[in-house]
Amino acid sequence: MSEATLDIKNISKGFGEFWSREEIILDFSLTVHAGELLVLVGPSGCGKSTLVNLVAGFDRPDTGKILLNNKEITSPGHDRMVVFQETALIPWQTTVQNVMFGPLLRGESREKILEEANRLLDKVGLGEFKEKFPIQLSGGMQRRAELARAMINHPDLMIMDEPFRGLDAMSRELMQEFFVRLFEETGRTNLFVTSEIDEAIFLADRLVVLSNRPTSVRKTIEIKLPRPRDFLMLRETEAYEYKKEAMELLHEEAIKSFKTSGDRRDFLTAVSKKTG
Amino acid sequence: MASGTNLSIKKRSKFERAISSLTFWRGVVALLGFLVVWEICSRMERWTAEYQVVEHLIAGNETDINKVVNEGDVLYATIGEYGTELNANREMLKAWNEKNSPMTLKDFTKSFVQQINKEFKTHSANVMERDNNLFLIIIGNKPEAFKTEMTLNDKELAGDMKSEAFKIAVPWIGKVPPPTEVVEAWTEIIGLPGYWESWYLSTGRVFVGFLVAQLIGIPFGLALAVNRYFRDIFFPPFEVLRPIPPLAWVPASIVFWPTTEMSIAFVTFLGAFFTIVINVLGGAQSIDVRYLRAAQSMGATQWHLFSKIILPGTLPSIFTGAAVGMGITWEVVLAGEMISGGGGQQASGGLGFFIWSSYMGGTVAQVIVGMISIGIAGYLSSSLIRFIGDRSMPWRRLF
Ligand SMILES: Nc1ncnc2c1ncn2[C@@H]1O[C@H](COP(=O)(O)OP(=O)(O)OP(=O)(O)O)[C@@H](O)[C@H]1O
Ligand SMILES: [Mg+2]
Repeated sequence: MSEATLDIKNISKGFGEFWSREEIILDFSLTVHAGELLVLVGPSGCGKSTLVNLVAGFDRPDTGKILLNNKEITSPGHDRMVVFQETALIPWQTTVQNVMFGPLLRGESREKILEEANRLLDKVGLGEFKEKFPIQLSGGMQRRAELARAMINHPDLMIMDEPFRGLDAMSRELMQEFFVRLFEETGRTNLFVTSEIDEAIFLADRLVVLSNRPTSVRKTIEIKLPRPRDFLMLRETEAYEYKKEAMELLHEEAIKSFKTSGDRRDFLTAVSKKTG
Repeated sequence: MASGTNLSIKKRSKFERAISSLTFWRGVVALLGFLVVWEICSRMERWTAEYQVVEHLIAGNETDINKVVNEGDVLYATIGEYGTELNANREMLKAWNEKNSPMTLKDFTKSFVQQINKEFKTHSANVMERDNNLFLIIIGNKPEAFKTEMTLNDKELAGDMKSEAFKIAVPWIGKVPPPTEVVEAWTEIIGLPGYWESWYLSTGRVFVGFLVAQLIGIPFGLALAVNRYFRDIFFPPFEVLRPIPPLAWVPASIVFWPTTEMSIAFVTFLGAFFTIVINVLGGAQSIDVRYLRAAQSMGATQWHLFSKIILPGTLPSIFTGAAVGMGITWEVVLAGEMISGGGGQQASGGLGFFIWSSYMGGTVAQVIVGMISIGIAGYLSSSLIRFIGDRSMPWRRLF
């Protein structure tokens, strides 16, 4: 069990010069407890990736603080690992080189790292693909390779930004199952961003529904489904209640942003297609 | 076999695989077809444009036709670039007169015609009697060399071009010498040291200019990409100089540099330099920020970011720049050689000068030999770049 806690305290972030400034995140506070899998859901474009960049340290908030284990985050670091929305495996390195990349940069011993990399790759089912380049892997394999690359750094916090977006339904389900097992095994503090409600409920300890821009926490839902999770649980009334609640909130948020423009019904169908 | 159980599958080389592939043979067939079509097209005019008739009035009435030929009478004709003549001498007349009646102008002309037909493969001659006139008719199949003059005892005989040649000429390619002629021209010069020296000189110039451009251009492009201050200072003047075509530098560089060789090298360098820098800069700037971020979050230092992400990420553009730059270098070298070598300095020859002098010397086939030589040289150099590129970017070979 990891002991890392993430504290996001009253942060704001906007883009643009003062005459065209748009606040994306406004007075946003959130705590991710140690060993917890917290899932953020929010409408597309609400600022989820922006938030991820702030937590990862690629960008600084305009106001407020982000603390990991009570230490302020000011730059990228290997105590937090991000798995991005699109694959970020380095194309000119083989799978195993990609996995070993971080520790080798930090000067850890090669043999030890190679051994661990092999173990992790076997674990994510890429044992036979060690010497392949990312482009030779399928989408699902790339995601698993990225998971291995993140895990070898033993981060205190894993940040996943819609990691399974773009996979077909089948591999998406397999990846979700794989990921939930991995989490249940390691119990690493996890901030998981998605726009799929089913995925969110299946994975989450707590589900945070975000409001529309400027983004803040709309509601936190405790998901009390037992662990280890399996997909059948999603059919139970309890899960259905969670889903209903989250969907309603999401619809409300989505409609808010469209109050001034467009046909409501069109937008509703669009949203239910995306989230349902 | 002793080790019959030891089955091994022979690995085929890339070349073997290429030979056995359908694409390879399609390519060969296409090339052959192209050559055959070219051959046919450019020979079409010569094949079809056969008959151009020249008539010469030898004698204008019956008396003249039957006039006895005396010793010393001379019938002389210039056909094309050659000449042939028939000289009536004593032995000839005696031999003739013993067999037949005294030799008349008509018989004399007949034997002249036989002589023409024996000597000229491209022309044939005939005697024709019409309206009491005696004509000598010459038929040829090489219109451009067709030219006759005829005299009898220093008296010029009347000549007349009777008919336009019939010909089927293919508009553009008809003017190009056929492949066989080019090959022939090639076999003539392939043994000459001058030809190979042209190769050597041009290749040397290209590689010197190219390598210097790489050595300066790659670091310069990378520096522009990674350092904002460097970019602010050097990019604007670079962008001003870049649109100036390399050839526009020729006069200035002839003035600036002490030797022709150095000015050619400088212009060559410029040709490749700008392309290389622009490619390196563009390549480095288009590296996805995700890779940099991923490396950063795993603890990469500035040097790591440069050596592990920016440099390998720019390699494809470096090789694109090299391939394009190589093409430009060849272009510039040849133009430079035409300009300066054409001025008469033998020492600065090269393939460009070779083409220029072939053009001045007037053999189109040799000009084409020069052109194809450059094509081959360019192909070899870009293959070399591709080969090195494939070796150094294994992840790109998978496409
Ligand atoms: N660097 C930037 N400069 C200006 N605007 C930005 C920048 N990054 C993000 N934005 C704006 O912030 C808003 C939120 O973007 P973000 O990528 O965080 O959304 P998201 O919730 O991750 O969306 P998605 O679900 O589609 O991934 C968008 O309107 C975007 O235009
Ligand atoms: Mg996003």
